[in-house]
Amino acid sequence: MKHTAARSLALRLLILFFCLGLALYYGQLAVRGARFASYPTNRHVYADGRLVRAGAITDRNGVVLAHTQDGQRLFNENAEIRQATVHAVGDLEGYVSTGVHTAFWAELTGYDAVNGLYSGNGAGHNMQLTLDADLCVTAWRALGRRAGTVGVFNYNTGEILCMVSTPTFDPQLASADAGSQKGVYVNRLLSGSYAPGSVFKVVTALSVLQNLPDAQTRTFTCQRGVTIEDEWLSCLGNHGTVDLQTALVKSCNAAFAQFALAVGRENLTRTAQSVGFDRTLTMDGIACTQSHYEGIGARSIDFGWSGIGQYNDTVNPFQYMTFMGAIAGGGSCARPHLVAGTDSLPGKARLLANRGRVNMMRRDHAQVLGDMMRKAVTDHYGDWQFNGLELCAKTGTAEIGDRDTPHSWFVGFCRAESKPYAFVVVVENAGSGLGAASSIAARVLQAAPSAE
Amino acid sequence: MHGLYPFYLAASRWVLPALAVLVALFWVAYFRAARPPKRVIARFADSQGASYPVTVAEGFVGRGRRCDVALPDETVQKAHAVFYQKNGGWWIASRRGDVTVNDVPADGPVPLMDGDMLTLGRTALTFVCNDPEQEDISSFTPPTGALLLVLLTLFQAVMGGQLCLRYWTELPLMLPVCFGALIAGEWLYFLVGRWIPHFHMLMEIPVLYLTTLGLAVCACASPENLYKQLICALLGMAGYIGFTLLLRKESWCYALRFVVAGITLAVLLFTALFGTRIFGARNWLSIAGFSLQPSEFAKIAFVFVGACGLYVTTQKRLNRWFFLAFAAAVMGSLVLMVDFGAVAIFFVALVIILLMRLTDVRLVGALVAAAVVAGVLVTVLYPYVASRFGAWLHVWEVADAAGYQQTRTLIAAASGGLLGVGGGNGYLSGIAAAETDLVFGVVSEEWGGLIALGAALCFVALGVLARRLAENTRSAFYAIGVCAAAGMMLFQAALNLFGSTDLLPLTGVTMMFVSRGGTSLMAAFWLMAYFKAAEARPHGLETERRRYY
Repeated sequence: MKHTAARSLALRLLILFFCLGLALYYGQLAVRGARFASYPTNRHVYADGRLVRAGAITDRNGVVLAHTQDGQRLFNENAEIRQATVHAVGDLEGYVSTGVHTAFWAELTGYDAVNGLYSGNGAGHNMQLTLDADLCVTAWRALGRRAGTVGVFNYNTGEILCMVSTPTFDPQLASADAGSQKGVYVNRLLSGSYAPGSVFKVVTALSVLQNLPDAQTRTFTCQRGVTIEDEWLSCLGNHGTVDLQTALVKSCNAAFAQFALAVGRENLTRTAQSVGFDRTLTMDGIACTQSHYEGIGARSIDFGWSGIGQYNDTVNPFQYMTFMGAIAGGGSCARPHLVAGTDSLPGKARLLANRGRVNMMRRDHAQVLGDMMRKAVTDHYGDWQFNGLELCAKTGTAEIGDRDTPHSWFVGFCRAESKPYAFVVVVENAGSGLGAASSIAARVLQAAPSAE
Repeated sequence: MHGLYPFYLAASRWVLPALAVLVALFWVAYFRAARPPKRVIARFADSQGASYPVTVAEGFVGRGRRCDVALPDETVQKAHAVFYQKNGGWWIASRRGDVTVNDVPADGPVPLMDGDMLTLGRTALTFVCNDPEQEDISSFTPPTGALLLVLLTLFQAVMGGQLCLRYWTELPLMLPVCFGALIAGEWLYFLVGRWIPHFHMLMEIPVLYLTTLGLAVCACASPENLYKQLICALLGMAGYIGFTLLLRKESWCYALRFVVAGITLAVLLFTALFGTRIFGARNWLSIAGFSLQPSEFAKIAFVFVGACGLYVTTQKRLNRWFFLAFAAAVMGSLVLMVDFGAVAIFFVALVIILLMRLTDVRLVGALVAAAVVAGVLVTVLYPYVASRFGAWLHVWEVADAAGYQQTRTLIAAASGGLLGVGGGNGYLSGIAAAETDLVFGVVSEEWGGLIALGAALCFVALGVLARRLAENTRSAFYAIGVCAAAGMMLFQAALNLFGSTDLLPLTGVTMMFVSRGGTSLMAAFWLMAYFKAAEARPHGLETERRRYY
């Protein structure tokens, strides 16, 4: 029967294709299983499209931000805390894609590829965040009705104490109802992308320190602006002859454009990339929007503008907060993270994989940059607002077209030992950085708890 | 629910997959150990002293590498002639080249006697019918598979135990009775079977594994049908034994083929015209309160007629056309029933049967081409088929409409992980047709991805086994029967499994043995008779032994 059996080729092919199909199916299940299982009709963990079976989420002080009780998912009873933390904690319907409820869905519900959604006790795994709920409320109140974001983290430990994005909504209610406000589901700290304005001058200054041997002695002239290849680049003041430090303190456009030209397109681009531009940064494995710097190929006038945070520059607030942390930490800092701990085993592994330090620059450069930013506060912004913080900071006023009011930026860090915090504040369409953003930063940093 | 259930569940969800893995490993070892030895039952000797042993009761002689008697002679055709045992003697018939027996040109089948001189091309051969030096293979006893059955019984007991505790108050009697009866039935079968020479359980183990899963799914999804499912399983086993006995009488089958074909066509046409429509297909027949699906039994008849129609190795042209006409009529009535999943399954069986027997590849090619055209026509003529194809490969975009069943299956399978959430704790079984069309998802969710993988591998095992049986069985009738049966089961399993998980378009066919449904279960058991009949008589040893040796 050898001859006849050999002709059962169709059966052999069928067996082969069946096995291939099985491999494909199980491969797909391994890769996309969590996404399948987190579809909101899955009654193992959802009811009426809202997550119900998941562990509790608490802040750094044990304040319950969300938990499940009697088959119902409840957020904190305080509406202000709910709204101030919704972008960090996330909603139950998956609208806030970077929130813990969505980004840590598997860890919270106890899903893994081996056990699926089986749970011996019918509950998920708990999770503690590094957030301080009260500080978030302070930031949320300070932002008020304006759209924007406040991020504060401890550059020694990496703990994010404050992560607020506005506009916001109450996750206890149906998420879809909040959709009328523009960008309400977006966590602007992680997913925002803004023109940076003058805060970018810190990057240019770093590049100057890295690339010009006479960085701290070289001077340029400002006459309410400067002419670059027959085109005018305007400045807000007539600063005269300025060196790097004065230029940063007075935020002189003309000087920084000339510094940028002196450094060159390649060098400035390399510096930008070394501090996180054009790279995807992650927070606990959650991908943030990339910051973007484009100097190479630009005309000289455009390159000049790019050196002072205009042209095509865009900045993600989380990236800038990390950058500030690195300056504060002497060139490197602990990676910012949101989750302090969890009793989920895969969760622990994930946290471990996302810890560590980010290294961005040399220690002496960080020291000089910090000193210049400190001087900007003492000489220019007014240290009286920031009593006891030893604040080092830089303002930004990001022009976003002729008709719209500019975005207001304030970034920096405290040198006070009790408050080792780096921060970023962006307020959309709020005008000068010295004003809206800086006063919010002052309120939040004063309210921030002292680090142990 | 019994108080111990949570603890039992926590332990048994690890124990069950472990047992399933053990069963699979032991089955593979068993499969290797139970390979039947080759036995020389005749030989051809040439003038140079070379000897060509014959180890099969039907085979080809020729130049081809795959011939049972391969001659190194350029003047011999690749498949020159065919020899076989029939009615107590050996026969030879030319196929592609001329044969002379004792210098008389053979025109049609010619009996071969011990010592006959044959000429094929330039090769002269002497036929030696009775080889005095043959080893006695009646001493070969394949392992009985008792250990494998013990493991399987453990698996069934643990599974049944989990369900008993889960439905402690709801189904206090039904579950122990059903699992007990299944276990008792299989052990009775095994103990009786041990008296049959060369008996082994290679085919039965996968089938019983699948049947067990079917019972478990039925117990959770629709307990009211559990007794029916059990009775159909037992009836299926009984029918399978009877059908195996019939299949062993090759000449009876040959005589019966017109009757079987006629009855099958009549019932199918009757169903197509007067049947009941359930879930889009008009393939149900209700007689005196019992409803059944004749197309399930048609699968058995189709293989039967197909294997018979090409039974005599020197097939007649008439036989071929008779089978093709029958196949066309069967598939035509299935189209009338709007049961396109079944049409596809029959078509696969048709291709397997034709390829195994015909050298006319062009005919098969033409058939496949015709099938493609027909498939396109169907999607044009039947909008609901088109809509199912429309959702294929992007079910998540239409997750609550045309992709509903597939997405729910994938959600369930992911929720079950590798170990499952426990029988009766899933949610997929609540949606329509879950325990039939989406049964793979139900098994994955409740019993876990490993046990579900085991179910899929059962069909692979049956396919591999069919190929081995075909190689060693007595005649083309059994070889074709077992390959066609295995092909049908495998293809149907593929349609079910990959259809519900969106690798193929969803066609709404059942998974044999696992899906709930009495007719389908019984028919699946009967189909297994092709396996048992093929293995029951390796080398024609059983019934015809005394006459030849």
